[in-house]
Amino acid sequence: MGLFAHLRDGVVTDLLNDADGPLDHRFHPDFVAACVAVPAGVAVQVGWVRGAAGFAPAVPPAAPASWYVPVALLRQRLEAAGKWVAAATVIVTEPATMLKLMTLQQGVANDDADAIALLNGIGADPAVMLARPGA
Amino acid sequence: MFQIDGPGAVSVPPTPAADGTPGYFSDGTPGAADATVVSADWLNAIQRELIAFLTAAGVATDKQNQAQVLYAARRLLGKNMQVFTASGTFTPPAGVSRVRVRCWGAGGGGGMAIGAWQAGGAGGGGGYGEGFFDVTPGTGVAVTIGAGGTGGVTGSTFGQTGGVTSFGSLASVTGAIGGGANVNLGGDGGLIYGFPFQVVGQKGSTGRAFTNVMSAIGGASFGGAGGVQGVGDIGRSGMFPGGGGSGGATDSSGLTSTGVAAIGGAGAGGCIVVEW
Repeated sequence: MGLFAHLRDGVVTDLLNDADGPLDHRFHPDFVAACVAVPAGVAVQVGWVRGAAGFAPAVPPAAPASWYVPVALLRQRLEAAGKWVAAATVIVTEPATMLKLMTLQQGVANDDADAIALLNGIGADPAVMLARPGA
Repeated sequence: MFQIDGPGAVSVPPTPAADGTPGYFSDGTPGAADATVVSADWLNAIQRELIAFLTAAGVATDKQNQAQVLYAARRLLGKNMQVFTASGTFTPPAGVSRVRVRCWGAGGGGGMAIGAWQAGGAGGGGGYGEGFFDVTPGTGVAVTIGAGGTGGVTGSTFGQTGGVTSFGSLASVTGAIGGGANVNLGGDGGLIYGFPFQVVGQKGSTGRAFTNVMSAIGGASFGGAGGVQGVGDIGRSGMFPGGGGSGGATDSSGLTSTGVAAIGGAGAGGCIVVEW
């Protein structure tokens, strides 16, 4: 008795145990041909990949390194930090910055160089003001 | 259809004459060869064939109805049905040596979305296969029903592939592939083995990240719709049988609009219908 992995493009799509009956009695021969035995002691899961070195977990994507902070949320943070008036004072003297803030659809990117410079200029911590929403 | 009941009809079937040489009807040739005699043996044989057909279908003869053979044929085809939504064994009853099998593969799960403005890929739709297969009366056929792939969750963000659905070694349909996490590809439909008629499951759509990001729609199977699309929403389950789950989608908070993790929707399970 043993565990078998069905592979599709090198990815484990199913795990089958022949304790339920021989695979060739339960599945079409072409399906069985795409199955390989899982070595004892290897805790393979569906979604793992099988390469030359054997089975390995798939690498899940990490959360994106950059994100956006909605303008309304940024204003709330500035107000909470007592920096909103200072920020507004700078913004109204820089029409290009004002227009940019008004036209940002997704919000202010956490790595936006203009925003970081503005925040540093008024003594607000960019890491706090542009922190990931919901974090 | 009705049994002969006019003048000259007898109540006991005559003993058939000895076998002759098989041939064809002829109008004969005047002065040279007689026309074919339509014998009572031949007419009784035809009558019995038709009545046997009606009897097998449970149809009583009706002198006023000339569509009874057609009706009986329709009744005999698919007269019995067994539906499998969980694994088990199909045992052909006595006298049943050929069955019609319809099979829906399981759908794939949708992928999770992580971070702001993200959308997981959707699971593929299960494949569909159909065909007639020879079986042995009394000998069981193992039926395996695949579960739908689970949606991506924290720690396992990819949508999972659905399980294989199979009618013994005669035919199998693999589960559809799950969707990837975060702006990633939708899963392909399942593979189909052994069925002469095949309908590949629809590929799940790919997640796309925009403001008010829309989640990826799950792939449809031949009968089961894919999970629906939402704005800043968790993925939704595919419809039975075999629909793929939709992907999760986040808003600026990195969560759904209701403040929960944007997990993927589950794929729907497979199914097998046997008729004889």
